[in-house]
Amino acid sequence: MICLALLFLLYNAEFVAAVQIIVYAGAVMILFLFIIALLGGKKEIQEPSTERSLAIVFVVTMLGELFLSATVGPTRPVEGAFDAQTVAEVGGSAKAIGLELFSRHVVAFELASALLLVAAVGIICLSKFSYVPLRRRMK
Amino acid sequence: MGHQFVLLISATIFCVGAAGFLIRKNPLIMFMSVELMLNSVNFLLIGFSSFQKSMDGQIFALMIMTVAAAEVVVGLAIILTIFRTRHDMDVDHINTLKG
Repeated sequence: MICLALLFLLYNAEFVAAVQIIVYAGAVMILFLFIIALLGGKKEIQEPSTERSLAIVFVVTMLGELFLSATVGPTRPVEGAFDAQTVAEVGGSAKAIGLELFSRHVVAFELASALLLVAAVGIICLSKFSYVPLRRRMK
Repeated sequence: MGHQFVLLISATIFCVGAAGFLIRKNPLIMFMSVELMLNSVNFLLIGFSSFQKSMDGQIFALMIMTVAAAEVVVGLAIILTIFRTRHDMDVDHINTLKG
């Protein structure tokens, strides 16, 4: 994930790189670590099955197809308004993103915040109400 | 660092994620694979937003990160609840909706 953030930096996306590090390295991975520490790692038994080999064949085919479509065929660049110079003139990647986000993408921004709120409330409900029926079942 | 570099890296990361999702049986690992796939698409969006000199790709990437964060939280809670009721971590054994 941090390597990916460095790759983001390579493509003039400093703000998104910072967000990537904070969100993924800071929040998501810690959450995963907590869950793994809570549940404990267990060695999984891998027996060969038709589904497994089918999955491998599928993924390898997809990889080949994507590589083929990436290397073959022309790509036509479309020029937008934000090159590195204009971004620097505006005052950095974060400011440019902020201007864009709060002018043209306000609805998407508000929807994203609503989504986060719904997720938070859902988690509270899930963790609060799942205890009671569980205890009753155990008795 | 042309278009092809971005496309190839992104395709590779996506396929690693897809393979992990399809092959592994631990729901946690499967979740990490989903994150990998989302991240590869993020990288593609950012690379192409840089090529096309537009900010839209970066905004899209931010939105995808938001959705991914919400999804991780909900999914991990579901995994935790399943583990609490079943004490079992194999997705192949979870085949009934009635708890």
